[in-house]
Parts: sequence; structure tokens; C-alpha cells
Amino acid sequence: MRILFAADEHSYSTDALPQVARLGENTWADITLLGVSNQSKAMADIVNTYYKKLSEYFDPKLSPYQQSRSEGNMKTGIHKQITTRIRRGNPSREILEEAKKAECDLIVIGCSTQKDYTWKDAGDVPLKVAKDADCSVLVIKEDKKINKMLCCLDHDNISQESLEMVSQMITLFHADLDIVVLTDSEDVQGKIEKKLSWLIDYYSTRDIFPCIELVKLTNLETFVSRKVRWGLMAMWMGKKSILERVFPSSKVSRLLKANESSVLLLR
Amino acid sequence: MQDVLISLQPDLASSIAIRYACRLEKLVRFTMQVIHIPNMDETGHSHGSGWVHETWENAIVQQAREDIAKLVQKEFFHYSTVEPKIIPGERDLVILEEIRQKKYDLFIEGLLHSFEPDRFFQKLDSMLYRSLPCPALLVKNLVVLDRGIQIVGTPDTIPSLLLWFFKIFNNLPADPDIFVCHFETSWEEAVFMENDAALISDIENDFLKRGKTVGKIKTVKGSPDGLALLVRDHALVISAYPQSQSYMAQLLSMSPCPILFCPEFKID
Repeated sequence: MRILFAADEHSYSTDALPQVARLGENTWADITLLGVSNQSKAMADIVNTYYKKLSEYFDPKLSPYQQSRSEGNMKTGIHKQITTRIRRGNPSREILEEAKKAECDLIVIGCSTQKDYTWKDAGDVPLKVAKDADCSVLVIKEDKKINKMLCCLDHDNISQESLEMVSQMITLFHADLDIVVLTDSEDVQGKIEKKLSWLIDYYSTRDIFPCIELVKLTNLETFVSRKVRWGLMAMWMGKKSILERVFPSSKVSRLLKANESSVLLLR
Repeated sequence: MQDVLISLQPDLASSIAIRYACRLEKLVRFTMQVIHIPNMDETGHSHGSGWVHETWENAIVQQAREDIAKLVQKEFFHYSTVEPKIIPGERDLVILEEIRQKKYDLFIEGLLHSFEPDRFFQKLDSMLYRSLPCPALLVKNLVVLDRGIQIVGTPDTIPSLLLWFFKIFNNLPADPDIFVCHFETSWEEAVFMENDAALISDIENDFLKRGKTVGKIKTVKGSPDGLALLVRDHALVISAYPQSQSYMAQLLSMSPCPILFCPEFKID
């Protein structure tokens, strides 16, 4: 697994860094720290600071990221990388290009709560990345405490990777899991019920007991915007997803703006 | 020991209900009888009459018996020795008759929680729920039991709810929270009010008499929407049977927790 942390110099990026560290700690993923700015020198210093902070987070004896690995890790041969990258140019385009080039599984990006899913001085970078990325994207809102995570389940073709990703987030944030089952026909509901039963088994063996709620597809937007009950909202945006039909990529922004949570788009 | 009747269908809601019931049983200790009413309409109609019809019906009952045995066995082995009752007929009438005959203390069934409350209201409006002589536990989700119990009512219903709580869950180690609601549709957000001293004193005395302690007591006013966030995070919510379109019914329709509906008549 490879995680791309796309950051600028503002506090929401600094706030998101510990979550990247914990994700890395749980998954032992390769991590790329990417800074995008036209002032390369200043950005290089910032990314180096992020690198130092991230390295300090890990226990040197257990970390797979340390150069001088412990005997235990040497035996298992586990060695993961933290790499730093600086790019110049349009931030969202550079982030997407880097993610593609490095074949990332997840992009993590912080954003301000002051304005809707934006970066200071750079506009709606997080929105554009969430909308256009080929891989999963986690947009973390600054100062947003995540006690509950909402997952929208709308089809029965869900990858093991995305289930694991949800488990990681639950563990990461010590959050409760709500699963919303989108229903648009009896047939789909029957198939989803089987998947759901499997999901309950899957998560309960991990001591996670999801709370299930059925929602008609036509009421989804009302449901999402009605109350801010979740700190993190996760959506499967695969090709078979009903969401993909209801919210084509041009409308992802609208959905994101309809709620105030951090968002995980699973692809 | 309480006698419990649990109604099962071969579906997810029932699978959740039996898992929850078995967890609860470990804390409360009760005997559990499974009942299943096969849906004859789903399997088509028999063209014959007499022994032809009887053979067709027997085949359906046998199939249902196998389906339910599988469900029970899959979820919990130690209940597999109890023979499920498979009784064809009109569901509500059959269950009601069974409860009246065998004088069960509690009825349990599953219903998946839904944003659209129609099916929840239909359940409350059903002949079964309107006529039940005992409490009904409607399991909407599989919740961990250490999240505690919340008794939700108005100043009028709380006293009888406490009696049902002591009757059925006397063995539970947890101290239940009490949530006293004053519905005011003009107040969108929930507003916490000062507790009524007389009511609190009565509640505390009830617990004291039984050597127990009560959890947090909160009095809140607001619309059902406004109060909904406060009835989401418990292992069990206990309420009186509400009228289907009442504010209390609206509030409970939004709760994802298992709900125990108690009759309002007095018990010993």
C-alpha cells in the first residue's frame, strides 16, 4: 500500500499529519510526502519538517521506516519508505499526477473548516483531488473530531481493500461505524442484505459493531445534509455504485458541500 | 426466569434479532422459544384441496423448519436443541394466540432501522402490537450491551416503565439512564430543563427499594427531530407503546437502538 500525503504550509496540513502517521503505523504503507508550491525552497523546508515530525512519531525499535532497523524487523525483511517530493505548478493537477505516477492507493489531504474543502491561497484543491483521483481519497477537516463514521453501501461488489480501509479508519479514529444501505429496488436490497450479513460478520470478528440504516436513494441528499452526525463520511465511488450514477464526478463537490464531515471516497 | 418468544424469518433482521437476544440472555437469563410463520403467499398457491393441499402445506412447513433451524444453528449452537415452532396462518393472530396461551413474558423480533419510518409505524399500528399483553423488544441493530439502558418517556409513563424494567431486567448489572421528554415542536434543538424534584425523588425511591441505583436522569424539551440525537447511543431503549403518529413514535423511529415497548397497564 502507498499513501500520498498532499500538504501545504497551513495548520490543517500539520493537523492531518498525525493521522497519516497512524495510518502508516497500522498498515505499514509506503508514504510519500508531497508539497506543491511555486516557492520550492520554502516548501522544501516545510516538507522536511513534516518528514522529521513523521519520523519522530514512530518507535525506532518497531518502525519499518527507520534506516537502522531493529533486529526483529531485519529478520522479517520489512522495510517501508517515507519519501518526500516537491512539485511546482497547479496544486490539484500536480497531486493527481504524483498519485498516478507513484501508483498510490490513498491520497490524504487536510483542509480548512473556514471555507468548504479549500486550501488557503489555493482554492478548492481538496475538492478537485477528491473529484478526479483514480484512487481513494481521505479529506480531513481541520479540528473536526471523528467519533462516528458513516459508510454508504449501495451495491454488493465491494472490494476487500475498501473494507480494510474502513476498518483502518475505525481503528484510527476510535470511531463507531454507521452503515447506510441505499435502496432503490427490492432486487438490489435482497443482494445487499446478503452482503450486509457478511459485513456484520466481518466487522464483528474485529469487535466493530456497525449500526445499520436503510435509506431510499431518492432521500440520500436530505439524509446527508439533515444532521451532522458523523465526523467522517465514506462513500464507495466505484463504477457499479449507484452513487456514481446519482453523483457523477461533477456532482461530488455538491455532495461534499452538503455535509460538514471529513470525507473518505473509496475507489 | 422469564419466558421469551422470538419470531424469526430467514432474513437479516431476524439474524440480528437472535444474535442480540442471545447476548441479552447471557445477562438476564431467560428461556427462549423460536416461532416462525411461513409465508404461504410467497411459495404460490396449491391447486388442489384435501390431501393434495395438506401435502403441499406440509412440504412448505418442512422447508421453513429447515430454514429456521439453519438460521438458529448458524447463529447460536446452544439453542439448536430447542425445536422452533412453525405454524402456518395469519402472522399477527398466530403470534398473539401463542403468547396468550403460553403466557410469555417478552416477545422479540427484528426490524432493520430505516430513515423512512413507514415500516416502523406500520409495526406500531399492527394488530399484534396494539394487543400484546407483554412487552415487545424490536431489535433494529446488533449493539454491544455495555452501552447501557435508557428509559425514555414522559412524566406520565415513566412510573409504569420502571415497573416493567424491574420485572424484566432486574438482573441487569447496569444502572439505566432516564430521559424525560417534553415535546415542543417549536423548539428545533433539544433544551435541557431542570428535573422535576418530585419525579426524581419517586424514581430514586423506586430504585432504592430494590437495592439498585439509577443512572443519569435528564429532562429535555424539543421536537422529535431535536431530541433524536439523544436516543442513539444505548444498547436498549425502553418506552411505552406510542400511538403510531405521536411525537414519541416519531422520536423512536429515528433511534437505531433496539427498543423495548411496554404496555401501559399496571403490573405487580
